[in-house]
Parts: sequence; C-alpha cells; structure tokens
Amino acid sequence: MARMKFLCDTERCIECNGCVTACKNEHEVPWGVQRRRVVTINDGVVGQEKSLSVACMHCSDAPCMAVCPTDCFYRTEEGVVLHDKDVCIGCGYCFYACPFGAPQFPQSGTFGLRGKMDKCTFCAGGPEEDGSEAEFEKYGKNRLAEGKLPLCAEMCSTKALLAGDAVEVSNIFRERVIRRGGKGVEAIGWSTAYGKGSADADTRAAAATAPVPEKTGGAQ
Amino acid sequence: MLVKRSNRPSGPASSAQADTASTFSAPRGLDRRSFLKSSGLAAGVGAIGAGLPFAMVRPADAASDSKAAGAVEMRRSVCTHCSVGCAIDAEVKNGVWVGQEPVFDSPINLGAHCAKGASVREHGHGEHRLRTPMKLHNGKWERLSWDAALKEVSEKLLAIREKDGPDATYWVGSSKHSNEQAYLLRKFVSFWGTNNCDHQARVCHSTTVAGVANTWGYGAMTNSYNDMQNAKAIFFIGSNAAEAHPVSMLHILHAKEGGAKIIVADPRFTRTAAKADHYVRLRSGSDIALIYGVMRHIFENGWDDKKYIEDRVYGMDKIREESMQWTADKVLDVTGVPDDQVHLIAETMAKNKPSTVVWCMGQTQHSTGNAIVRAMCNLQLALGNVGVSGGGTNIFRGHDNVQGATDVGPNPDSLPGYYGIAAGAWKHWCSVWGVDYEWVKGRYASPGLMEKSGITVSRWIDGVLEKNELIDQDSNLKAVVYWGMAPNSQTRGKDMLEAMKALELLVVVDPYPSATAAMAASVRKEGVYLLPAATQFETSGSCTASNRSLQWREKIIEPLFESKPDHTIMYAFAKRFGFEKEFVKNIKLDKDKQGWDEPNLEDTLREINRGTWTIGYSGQSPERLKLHMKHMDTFSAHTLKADSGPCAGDYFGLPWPCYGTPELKHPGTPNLYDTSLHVMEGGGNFRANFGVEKDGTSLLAGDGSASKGSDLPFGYPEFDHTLLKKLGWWDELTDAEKKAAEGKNWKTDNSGGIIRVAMKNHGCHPFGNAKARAVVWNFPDPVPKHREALYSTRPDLIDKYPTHEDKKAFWRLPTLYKTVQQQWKNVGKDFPLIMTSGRLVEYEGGGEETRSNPWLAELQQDMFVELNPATAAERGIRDRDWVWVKSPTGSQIKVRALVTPRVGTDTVFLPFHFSGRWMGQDLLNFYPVGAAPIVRGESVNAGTTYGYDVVTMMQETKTTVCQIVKA
Amino acid sequence: MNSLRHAALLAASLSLVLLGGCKESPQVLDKKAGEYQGKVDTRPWEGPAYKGDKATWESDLRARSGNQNELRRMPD
Repeated sequence: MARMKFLCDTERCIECNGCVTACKNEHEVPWGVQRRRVVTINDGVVGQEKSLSVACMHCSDAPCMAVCPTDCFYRTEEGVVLHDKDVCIGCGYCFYACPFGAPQFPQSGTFGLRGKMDKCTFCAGGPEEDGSEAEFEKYGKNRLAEGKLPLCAEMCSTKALLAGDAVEVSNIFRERVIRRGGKGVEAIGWSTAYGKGSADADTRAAAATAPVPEKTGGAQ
Repeated sequence: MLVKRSNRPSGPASSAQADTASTFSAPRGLDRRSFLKSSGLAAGVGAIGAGLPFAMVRPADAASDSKAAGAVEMRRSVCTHCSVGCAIDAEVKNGVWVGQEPVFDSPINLGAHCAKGASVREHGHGEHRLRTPMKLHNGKWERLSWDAALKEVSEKLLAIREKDGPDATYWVGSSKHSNEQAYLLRKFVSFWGTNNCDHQARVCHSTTVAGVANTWGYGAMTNSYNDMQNAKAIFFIGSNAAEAHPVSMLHILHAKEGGAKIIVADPRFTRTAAKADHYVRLRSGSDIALIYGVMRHIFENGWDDKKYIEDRVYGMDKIREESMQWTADKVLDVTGVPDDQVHLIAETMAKNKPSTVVWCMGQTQHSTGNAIVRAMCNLQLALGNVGVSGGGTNIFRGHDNVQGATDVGPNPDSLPGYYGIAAGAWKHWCSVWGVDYEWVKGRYASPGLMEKSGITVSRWIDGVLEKNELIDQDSNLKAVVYWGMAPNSQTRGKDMLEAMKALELLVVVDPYPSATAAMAASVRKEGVYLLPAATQFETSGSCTASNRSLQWREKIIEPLFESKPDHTIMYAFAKRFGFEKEFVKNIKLDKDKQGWDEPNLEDTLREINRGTWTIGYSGQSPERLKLHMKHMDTFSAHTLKADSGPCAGDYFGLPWPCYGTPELKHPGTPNLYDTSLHVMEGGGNFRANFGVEKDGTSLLAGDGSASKGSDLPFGYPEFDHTLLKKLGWWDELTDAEKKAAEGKNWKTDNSGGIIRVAMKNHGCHPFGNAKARAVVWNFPDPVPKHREALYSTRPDLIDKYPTHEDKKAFWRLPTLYKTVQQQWKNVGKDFPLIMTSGRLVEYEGGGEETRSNPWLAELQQDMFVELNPATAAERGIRDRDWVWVKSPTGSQIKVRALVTPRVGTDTVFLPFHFSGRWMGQDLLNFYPVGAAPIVRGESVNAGTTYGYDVVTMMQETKTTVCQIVKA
Repeated sequence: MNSLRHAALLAASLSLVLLGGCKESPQVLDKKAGEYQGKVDTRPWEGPAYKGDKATWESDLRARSGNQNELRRMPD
C-alpha cells in the first residue's frame, strides 16, 4: 500500500462546495473553521477560470511538523499527518509554514480545546481510541478505521476530488486523462513546474486542444 | 524526526491514553448536536445561539437520554434541494440522524453531492426551525397549541368562505411536497371549492411546460441527466447547471471528456461557462433572436434534417421563413453576438449529432418565455434531435419535486395529470376519488368558477390589491395560505408588502417560518399564523426528478419539535372543514405517535396510479418504486436500465410515462418520443393532441415513422373506444375492461384496458402518433417572435419589436403589456443597467431553509450584486463596498458590490435566495425568537418590476433594469 | 515511554488540583526536540471494525476507492 493522498482534478471541479459541507457534516466542524475549502483563480475571466479544492495535503515532508515547537505532529504509516491537540499550544507556527493554509485557529471552544490548531485529518481521527467520543470531539470521525475514505472526496459532485491510496487515486486519474485525450497535463501548476516555453509542454498542450475529428451528423 | 505509530507500547489500546483522556474530557451523551451547540457555533454567529427559546424537549434530546446505545440503522431518502434526485443514506441511532453516507449505488448521482446535498442532515436537527404553532398578536409572535391554531385558522377561513366565497382564499402549495402531498393538496383545494392554488412551477418552468407540451405532447425534460452522456454537443442557454444542478455536471463532464463540445450562452460568464469549450455572451432577454440566428445558418447550410421534418414536424417552413429575417446584423443588434459566434453554435450543433440543448429559468422567466422555449424546441426539431438518445431538450427543473407537483399537484388550471378543469376532467377525477361530481360542484361558488383557471401565484398580490370591478371573480382575495413556498421568489416585493398588509388572514405552513412571517410582521399586528410542517426527511413519499424518474423516500426520523407532515395537517383541516370523509375515501388512515390521523401515503400513490393515465403516473406503484430504491445497484448509470435482478427491464424510477396499470409492467420511458424502441420498452413518438388536420395539412406522422414494432406503421390518432372497435381490437378487452372502456378514451378508461390492448398487443402508442408543432397556432405568437422586455434599456428596439397588447381578463386579472412598455420606454436614461438574477450553489429557492443551515450559511454570508469593473469604476464603487440597487418601482436594496468581469458592462447580476432584510433594514426582530435564518440579506425581488408571460403568467425576473449607487 | 507517561499522569493530577473544572488540557512538561510528544495512536485497522486484520482493511479500502471512478458504471 502507498501513502494516502488527495487529488483535485481542475478539469472537473465546479466549486460547488460539496466537499466543504460534507466535511462540516461528517465532523460537525464549527462555524469559522475551514478544514477544506474551494479556491477559484481568475474568477470570472473567460477561458482562465479554474477551481480547486484544498485542504491539508498530508505532505510527506510536512513543514508544519518541522516547525512545531511542541512536536505535536505525527505521521501515520499510511502517510496521514495528524496532531495531538493536548500537546498543541496553538502558537500558529504551522500556520506560517503551511503553503496551503490548512491549519485553522478557531475562535473558541473548538473540538473541546480552546485555541488549539485544527485541520483536515483525512478522516482518520486522532490520538484517541478509534471511534470514541473523545476522538470525535477533538478530531472528528474516523472513517479510515471504518474502512471508508474521506467524505469530501466520496461525496464530490463531479468526482473531481479523489482520495485514498495514491496508487488507486492515480489509476483512476490516469484512466480519466487518457479518455479525455491528454487533458489534465494542463493541471494547475503544470507550466510552473515544467516551463511554459518548453517544447514538451507545448506539444502536450497542442495535443490536448487538438480538435476532435469531425463526426458525421445525422442530417447528411 | 519521523515518529511512527510503531513507537507505541505493545498491546491493545494504551492505558495511558485512556487515563489521560478521562482527566479532561467530561463524558458526554451520544447526541452530536449537543456537542455542536457547545462547540463554538453559537459564538461564531452571534445572536442565533441564544439557547432554546421554547421550553420543550426535542425528540432528539429525549432520544439521546436513553442509556442504551442503539444500533445504527440506515434509511434511504432523496435530497430535497434540486431536481437531480440524488439519493441519500441516513444513519439513524436512537431516533437521531447521526450520519450521512454517499449512495454509490444510485445510478443518478453515484454517491455525489453538491454543498446542499452534502449538508441535508442538518435539517434533521433544525436549530432554526419553526417549533410550534405561532400567531401574531399585538405585533408579537405568540406560541399556541395545535388545537387552538387549527381552531382559530379554520374558523377564520370558514368565515371568509361564508362571507366572500371560496375564491376569496388563495392556496400556495409547494414543489417541495411529495407527489402524494401535492396531489392531496389539489384535492383539498377542490373540496374547499376554488381553483385559486398554485406552486413554485408557475415562477419556474410554467412557460416550459406550456410551450413544450403544446409543441409535441408532454411538458417535461425529454431525456435525462444520464442520457446527456451520449450527446456529442451540448448547448446551454439560460442554465447555470454547475451551480443550480451541480451533480448533473458529473454526466455532462463525462460527455465532454468523451469528446462532446459544450457551448454556454448566457449574459453572465457562469461556473458552467468556465467548463465550456465556447462561451457566448448575449444580452439578457434576446434568446429568440439568437436562436433564429443559429437556425438561419442551419437552413442556409442545409444542416436541417429534411426527412425528419417531413415525417414528424408540422409548420417548419414558417420557422424557416422567420429565421431568414434574422440576418447577421439584426442578430448582432439585438443580442450583441457577432455572426461568427452564431455560426459556430450552428455548426457545432449540426456537425456533432446527436446534440442536445439545456435551458432553465434564464429562458423561462420572461414575458416571452413561452415563445423562447418553443424556439428552442424548433431548433432541435430542425436538427432532428428530438426522440433521440443524446439529443432532446434537457430542461432542468428546479425543486426536488417541482416536476411531480406540476404533474399531479395544485395547479390553478388543471386537475392532476394535466386533465384540465372542464366538466369531463372533473367527472374523471370524481370517479377516481370516489366522490359525487355534483357534491364537488356544490362546493364551488358557481360551475363557471369551477371551470375557470384560478389566479396564479405570481399574481396573488393583484388578486388582493386590484380594483374589484376589474377582477374576474366575485371577491378580492382575503386570505392567503403559504404552504411551503417563499414569498421572496415572487417579483414586485414592494407591492407584495402592501398585499400582505391588506389581507384579513395570512397562514404560513412551513418547516421554516420563512420570509413570509417576517415580512408580514413588519406591516401587521394581527392575523398571521405559522404552522410547523415537517421536512420530507420526517415522512415518506415519492418525488419526481427532472428526468421524470420517481423515487420513494423512507422516513428518516420522526417529525421534530411539534411539526407535522403536510398531509397530516391537510387532513386535520379537512376535518374542521367537514370534508374529511370525501378527502380520504380510498385512503387508509394511520395514527401517528401523538395520535393524529395521517393519510396513508402508499394508498395515496395508488389513487394517483388509478387516475393519472394521461402522463403515465399509473404504473409506478409503491411496491415497484420501493423495489427500485432497494436495488439501485442493478441499474446502469449510463442507460438507467436494469439488465438483471428483480427490476430487470425497468428504467430507474419508472420515468413517466409509465403507462397502464402496474401489472402491465411498462418499464418507464427513458427518452420521450423515441421511435427506435418498442412502446413496451419505453419507445414512443409525438403526441396526437391537436387534431388530425390543420388547414388541409395532415397532423399525423408520416409513413414509416411509428415506434418500433407498431402494428400501425404510420401516423394515427389517439385511442378511444371507437378506434379500438374500428380496428377490430375491441374484443381483446376482457368483459370487465369493456364495461369500463365503453364510451371512454385511453385517458379516462379507468380499467387501463385500452392502453393494454394498444401497447402490449399491438405496439401502438395510446396517445396516437402525430407530428410535433413548430407552429403553435393557439398561442399569441404561433411562430415564436422576439419582443423586447417591458423594461428595456433599448427604446429603439421597443419600436422594432414591441410587446403584446394589454389583456383584460387573463387568469382572472387584467394584465398589462404595451401600456407598461410605453410608459417606461425611456427608463434606460435613469436606470441604465440590465438587472438579472440567478442561483448560488449553496442556497435553494427563497433560501430560508438553506440560509438556516450553518454549514451552508457560512459559505455565503452576504447578499451582493455582481457588476463589471468598468461599471463600478464609473460609479466610484470598489469591490466589497455597500451599494444601493435602485429600481424604477421606487424600491432600493442595500447589498455588497462584487466587482467582476463575470458580467458585461451593461448587466448586473443578483442572487435570488436572500430575504430577511428590507430596503436597508434588518427584519430580525420580526421573526419568531430563535427562528430567523442565520444569514439574512435583501431580496432581489424587492426591486423587480411588472411583467408576465403572455400564456402562463410567468413573472419576468431575468430582464429588468436598475441603477446602482454607492451607499 | 515511561517518563512520558509519568509526566502525563503528573500533569493530569496537577491539572485536577490547579484547574478544577476549567477544561484546560494538561501541558507537556518534558519534551525531546524533534520527537513526537503526543499520545500514541492506534492504526486504523486496529479498531473495533477490523480488529487488526490489516489485509482486509487494505482490500476494503481499495474496493471503496473504486466508487470514485464513475467510468466503471458509465462505459462509452
């Protein structure tokens, strides 16, 4: 088994916020805490608008973990980054470090502990007995322990947001990308990662936008 | 350093963990809500968390007190927030709805949900629900018992009936009622003695239903969300599916990824447009001109399907003539769309067949709505796309059961099943109800009023306010019952407030007190009652998705607080009105937990089955529907068909028409008018509903164009007893069937025998086989014509494309067209911006319900207006500024500015889901304590103007005018 | 591990005395830099649902993943 990962397919994400409320529903996440949210870039710009659902990415080399002064973070064998709220002091260093804005600092009383950091758990609960009230109150539901995947992905309206074992997720995504003729290489950040002007990127982009061969209509 | 779980001490759950936990975590019950209440939500949203305003124990609390940790039970229901029909699995523990799981098995949504669907569990807790009956007394909301409420309301209603007649009352039903409740409400209102009833469909798709049904037979989505997977091109115009029907995008993006081309035409670059191959910006209200522009290219290039038109369409030559008038320069002038884009739409639709179209309220909510939707039908007929998988007109309905409530619910011009309200229709339904026709007739003020269409919900305010001598009934409206609809979804809010003030009695039956309560309390001191209804999750019943599939909801939890299901409330009133026996003649009564009588919903559906032959609501017995809900996994998510299992051969939810009796085992109709299938496999053809001949031209379909396997391989009229006899098929009826069918047609033969013989024995369609009508000669514009909106910023176009003449008595009311348009001809000088409105994904309809759900409310906390950066700059407005949106009616609403290129410089957009603020004032104090929605905002309809469709009285919301200034 | 547990217990009793019903959690008094200082957690397959059967848990999760692939139910 590989690591647990989220993947958001920007060709599919329509900013319906189903993932956001699925998370709220499953974990009774209080007002003001956004464990998951959808961001839209170039909002309203014809041809350039893209939406993307973002939460904790459960980094393999997690900056939050690296900077935490109380070392409250741990990573599970499945690659899920979790933390112990009893140890967290709510300082916000992880908030500085996280490139995705995942750590949340609720106004009050959240998950039984004032001021402690809260974030996406990949529906894996936390360091309390699995399925216990204590786990639910501090961290939310533990779906992984029930053999289920994060509800945000399971309920995604267009199946844009995928979650699970990275091997399974990439298999689903690959099948999809092949079917749509190579799109997906235009994923957010592709040109940043591989260079706008590179021959490779241009070829891929051209392949992706090439017209579909004309189909014969019934009117002829 | 990486700390792995292997660092944990060996052995099962560490004792240190348990010890530590017990030191700080006070033990709690299993009620997840008590956790929620104490966990910061209240602080986050201010006053709403002020504690329970009523001294009562909620069922949820009571249940969680029980020590026994009950097992989790799964109950299956359907989301109540749009017409896609997404299935929901609810986890219930000790009577509390504790969890929501995706239903991956559903062939419609495959487990997927949008923001609304993923949050429906909140309704099962309902912190902001109306908890008890209330009345407005001395300007304050007071609690009263159900008994007192029923007594006071019924006495007042009966007094009005006595004094002013049954037509002095108005009954606003609901597209959120189940089929059974909607059906019972029509029956209820009939026994009260009026046709003054309506529901959301009037202001949602009434123009579609009338326009489309008059074109080819049935006023519904022809295909399905799933079938759109087969489309090679999809043209959206006036639909923002990504926000209004998000889960439909699962099927649509599947088509796109398989190579389908998507075009979105809209005044606004929507979330749907962001997923399209091409976006076309058109001027609001100019749809007909654009469609003719597209058709001109189709005809000029010979892309029309000539054989199809010859065999199956009447009057296309007239449409061709009209489209030739729409030259490139004229289309550009009216729509703002350059010819190359118009050509692109035509070519894409013609060369990527089958191609489909999608429309919603962007097309329907116009004073020309009926003509716009017919123009769309004609486009699809010209391309030969109707009755074809992957083609059709995919009209996305709005509410979860707006299709069903339209089909069998409280319509002012028809009894269930579109039977109309002529004497024959009444006799048919009286026989189904088991009541005496003469008795029902006696309930009405006169036979004339019994057969006269009632006032529409879009105009009830004029039923109150209009001069008595100008209305087409005896009395003005004195009492209005809002039974599951929001007032802020109707236009002319300013006039509505006046109407609310003038009424003698206003009754609101709703799970949420709704904006009606607050609006009324802001202008009245007495005479308003609120009755708490249960949501659809607290009862069972069927609902019809946009694709005509019926799904059966299981009751998830018992009604919360003191709420009661709508049909239980109807029966309680029927008792007070003295017609309870007639009301449930064929329907068993059950006792609920408090001992109230509840009409049995399975029996109610069986009664619907026994009477609704016209549109095939006859085969969907409760048993068949429940079997489908249980075996969802056996249905294909591509074809909706079950190839194996106990439902083998059926289409999911037996999409109507599902003809004949349940025993006939009709599988339902996945795509309407599809001649490639046998009628017993869901095939069909266009309906013979408009005679057999017009001006010397046959209206029957051409030879060889009948449905597969038909014994009559040509056009034929609808079946009745004489046709059956002429064909020599009469003796195929049983003796009992003969007795029932004598003198009847397929719609009124209550044995279903005529249908059985025609379909099963001979493969013929009971409604005949005719041509679709491109020209609807009984409508004001038989050939759809572009006409400028009543409030237009283009006086030059008003001269060229003026509106209709005024109408004297139209749905019982004088209705103005030309007078208004001429009076406001130069309105653009002071109100230069086109104002349009639409949906947000987080909210539904009037929005009180969804704005009361914290998980949704948090995502959209401010009412806003979208305006272009240039429009904003001209007015010195910056993003997030407060602005006043000023309307020619004198209304002005205070909202946030959202500066965005999403809209063009001439247009502004406002969402229509807000209420609870009124022209700058917060109405919080006018709600019952604790029952105000979390988010309140100005209603766009406080500022909308006059204007109604010339056929259906649909209100004009999509094209009006405003001015915006910085607040 | 013992010292950690000891510290936790100490903190727990201290908090009982000092904080009473304040619902404040015990603080960690002793910490090793770079090493996880919190409570240990169980693995997801060790809970009541799987009782340590990792293979079944993995298999179930893989099967569940398939629900996110609509292509399984929507063939071309």
